[in-house]
Amino acid sequence: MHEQSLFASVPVHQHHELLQQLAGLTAMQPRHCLERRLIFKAYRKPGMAGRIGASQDLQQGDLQRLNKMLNGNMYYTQVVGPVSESDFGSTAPVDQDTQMAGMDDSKPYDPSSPSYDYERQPWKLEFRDIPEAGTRSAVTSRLMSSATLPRGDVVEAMNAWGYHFITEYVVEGDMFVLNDIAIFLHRVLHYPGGDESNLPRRQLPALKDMALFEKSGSYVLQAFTIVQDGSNQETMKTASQHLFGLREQLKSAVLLEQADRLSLDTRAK
Amino acid sequence: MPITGVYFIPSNPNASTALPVITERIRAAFPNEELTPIGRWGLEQKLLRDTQGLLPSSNSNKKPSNPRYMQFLSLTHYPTHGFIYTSEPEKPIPAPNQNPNQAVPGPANAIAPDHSPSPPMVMTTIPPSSYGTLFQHFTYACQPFWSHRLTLTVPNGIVYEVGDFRVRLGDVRQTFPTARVRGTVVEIEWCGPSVVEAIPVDREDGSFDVGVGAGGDCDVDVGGVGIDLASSAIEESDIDAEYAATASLIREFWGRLGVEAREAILIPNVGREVKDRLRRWKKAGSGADTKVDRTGSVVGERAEEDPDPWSGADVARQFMEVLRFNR
Amino acid sequence: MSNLTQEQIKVLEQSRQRLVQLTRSLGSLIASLNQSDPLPPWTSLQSQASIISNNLISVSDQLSDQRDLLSNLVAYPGPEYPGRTQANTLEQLLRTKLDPRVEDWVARGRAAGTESATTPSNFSDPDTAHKPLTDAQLAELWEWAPLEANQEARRRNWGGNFTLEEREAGIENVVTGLRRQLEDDDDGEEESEGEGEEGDGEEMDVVGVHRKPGAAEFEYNIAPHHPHPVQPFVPLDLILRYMTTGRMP
Repeated sequence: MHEQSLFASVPVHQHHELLQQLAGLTAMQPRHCLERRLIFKAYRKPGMAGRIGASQDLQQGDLQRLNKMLNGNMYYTQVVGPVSESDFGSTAPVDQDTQMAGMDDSKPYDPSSPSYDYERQPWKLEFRDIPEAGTRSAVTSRLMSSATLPRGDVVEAMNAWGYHFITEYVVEGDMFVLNDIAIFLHRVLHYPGGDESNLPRRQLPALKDMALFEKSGSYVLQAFTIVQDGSNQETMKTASQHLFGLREQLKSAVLLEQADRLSLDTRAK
Repeated sequence: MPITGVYFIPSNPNASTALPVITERIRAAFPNEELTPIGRWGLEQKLLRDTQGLLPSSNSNKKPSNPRYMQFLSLTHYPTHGFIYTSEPEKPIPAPNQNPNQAVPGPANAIAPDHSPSPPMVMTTIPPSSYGTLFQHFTYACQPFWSHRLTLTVPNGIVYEVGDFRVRLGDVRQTFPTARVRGTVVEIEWCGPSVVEAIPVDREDGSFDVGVGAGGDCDVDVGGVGIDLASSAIEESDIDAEYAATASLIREFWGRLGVEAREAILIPNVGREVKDRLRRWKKAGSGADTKVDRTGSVVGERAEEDPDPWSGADVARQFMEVLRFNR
Repeated sequence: MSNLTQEQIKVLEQSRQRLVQLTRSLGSLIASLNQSDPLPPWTSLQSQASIISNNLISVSDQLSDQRDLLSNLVAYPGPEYPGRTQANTLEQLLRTKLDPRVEDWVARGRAAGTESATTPSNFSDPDTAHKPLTDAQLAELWEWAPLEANQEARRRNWGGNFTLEEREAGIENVVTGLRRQLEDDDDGEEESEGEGEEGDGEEMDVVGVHRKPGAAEFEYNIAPHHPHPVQPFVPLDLILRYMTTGRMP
C-alpha cells in the first residue's frame, strides 16, 4: 500500500476556523480522535553489519545476496492504539478481590465508572517507509502497511520481533473524509513528567495534565490518500491529483505542501 | 481450547509420505470405528530465521548458537486468526541510548553444544487480514535481521473422528525456496470432557461467554457431562494435571499405531493461554457484572473482533515445534 | 427671435440621440446589476462601463461643441402645447436653473475636476508627495483604508509587522511611512507566555486603528483571525521528525 500526503502547519489561532471550514468542505462533523502512539526502533546486534567475509560455505552469489540483505534498511515503526477521553485519568479496572474488601467498608462500587485496561488496549502496527525520493509529483508518497496486533501488552512481542520501545506520545485531533481523501488535523501531546519510563504506560494521566509538544499549541494538517496498489501509476496519479484539488480548495485557508522528506525518514541508523 | 498432540513423520527415501501407513494402522488399531473422513483441513507455515544464524562465523566453522526463529502459522480450523511464534531475544535489550560500540560478547565466546536449547518463544495471534501484512513487513523492513527461509503447507489434509479423538492427517509440502515433500503431520485432538473446556471464553468487553466453543468444535456437551464449575473450583494446578492426563491419553492413542514420529505435546508454554483465561475469569468473579463498556472508544475496529483470539495457541505451538526445521 | 434653422434642429436632435444612448446604456447596466443572478462577469461589467464612458464623452463633446447655440436657446411653450395635462413636463422644460439634485451632482463633479486638475498626482514629485493631505482627503482615506486593509489581510497569514516577501527582500528596504522603527518580531518570543491555550477564545476579525496616547502616529492592529495570533515555535518538519522517530528537536 502507498500513502500520498500533503501537510500544513496550522497556528492555534486558526484552528477553530479551519475546523469549521473543513466541516463545511467535507459536509461532515469532525470525528475527534485520541491515539496512543508508541515508537519502536529496530535493533541489530552490534557488530553484525559488514562482518561477512568470504567463506567456503557460501557461493559468491549467495554472499552478495546476503550482504545486500544484511545491509538493508532498518526502520522505526509505530504502534498505534485508539483511546477515549475517559481512559485518561482513570484507574485500572477494579480487582474483584479488593472490591470485595471495599464492600465491607460499605464503599459503593460503581461498575460504570471509567477505567483504562491496558490489557485490553487494541493496537495496530503502522509502518511507513521513508518517502520516495524524486519529485515526479509534489506530494509525499511512501510505502505503508498497517496490521492489527493482539490487544494488551505489545512490548514482549515487539522485542522478540526485533524492535525496542523508544518513547510514546498521544495524538489528539479531528478526522474528516472527503471522497478518497482523509484529512487529519492533529497535534502531539506529551505525558507529564518526562520519559523516565522505558515501557509504555499502563495508565494514562488526566488529559488536562498532558503537555503540548508544540508549546504554542499549533496543529498539523495532513491530507492523505491510501492507494492499495502503489505500482499502478494511474491510480497513484489520480490520487495525487485529488490531493492537488483539495490543496486548491483550501488555498485561501492553509497552504498544503509536500513534507520535507528527511523529516519523515523512518530509517534507523 | 481442546488439548492436542502433534506428531511429525519425516519423509525418507523409501516413503515420501506416511499417510497410507498411518491410515491403515488406525483402521487396524480401532477396528470398531468407522474410518470415514469427516472433513478437510489445511495449514501453512512460513519460517523466518535470524540472519545471525546464517552467517558463517568469520574465524571458525562453529555453528552459531541459539538460532532464533519467527514462525507464521495459519490453520484452517482456526480461521479467525493466524499465529506468530517468535524466539525471545537472548538478553535484555540494550537501552536505546547505550553506546553501540561497546564490546558485546560475540557468539565465538559461547561454546554451545550443537543442539543448544532455543530461546523461549513468544506467541502472538493476529487477524487474518494482518497475517500477510505482517509477514511482508518483516521480509521488507527487517531484512537485516529476519530472513524468510522456507514455507511449508499441508494443502489438503483429512479429518477423521476416532472415538473421543479427532485426528487430522496431512502431507507436509515445502513450497519455498524449492518444492519438495517434507513428511506427514498428525494432529490428535482430545474431544472428551475436559476441565479446560469449562473455563468460559471472555469477550473483548470483559464479560464471559459460558459454553462458546473455544475453537473446539467437538460436539461434546460440556455441561452435559457434568463439568460445570465455578471459577473458584478450578486452580492452575488442575489445569496442569488435566494437560498431563490428556497427554497420556493422546500418547496411548499414538502408541497403538506404532509409528515412530517426532512428538509435540507438553512443550513449553502449552496451556499458558488457558491459565491466563482462568486468571481473568477468577478476577472477574461473578462474571457479567463487571462489564466495562468500551464501545464507541474504538471506531471501526469492531469488524475485526475475534471472539477468542487465543484459541488454538496450543496446537499452533505444537505444529510449529515439529515444523521448525533447522535451516 | 426667430425659428430654428434646420442646422440648429439637427444639433438638438444629435444631442437628444446621444443622451438617449447614454440613458440606455446606463439603464442596461442598472438592469443587469439588478436582475442577473449571479452578477454578470466582470468582463461584461467592464465593457458596459466603457460604453457608458464613451457615451459620456460624446455627450460632453456635443455639449461643449454646441455650447454657443445651446446656451442661447430659450424654450417656451407654443399655443398648441397641452399645458394642462403635461404641466410637469412643461415645468421641467421651462426651468432656467438646474434641479437642486442635479446642481449637487454638478458641484461635486466640478470640485472633483478642479482638484484633479490642480493637484498633481501624489507621488510623481517627491516635494508634492510630502504635502499634507487635505482634511477631506484624510477623511476619505480613513474611510477607505480599513476596509481595504482588512481585505488584503484576509488574503494573508498575518502575524508580524512584515510580510514574507518583505522579509525576503530585506526589511530595511520596506517603506513603512512610519517614523518609529518597526521590529521584526517574527520570533514572537515576547508573546509566547500563556497564549498557547487560547485556541477556544472568541475569534473575530479585528482591524483596529487607534491613536497611541501621546504619540503622533497611528498604530494598526491587523489580526484577521484572532486577537492574539500565535505562530508555531516548532517548524512542521521538526514536529514530523519527532512523530516519526521520537527525536526531540
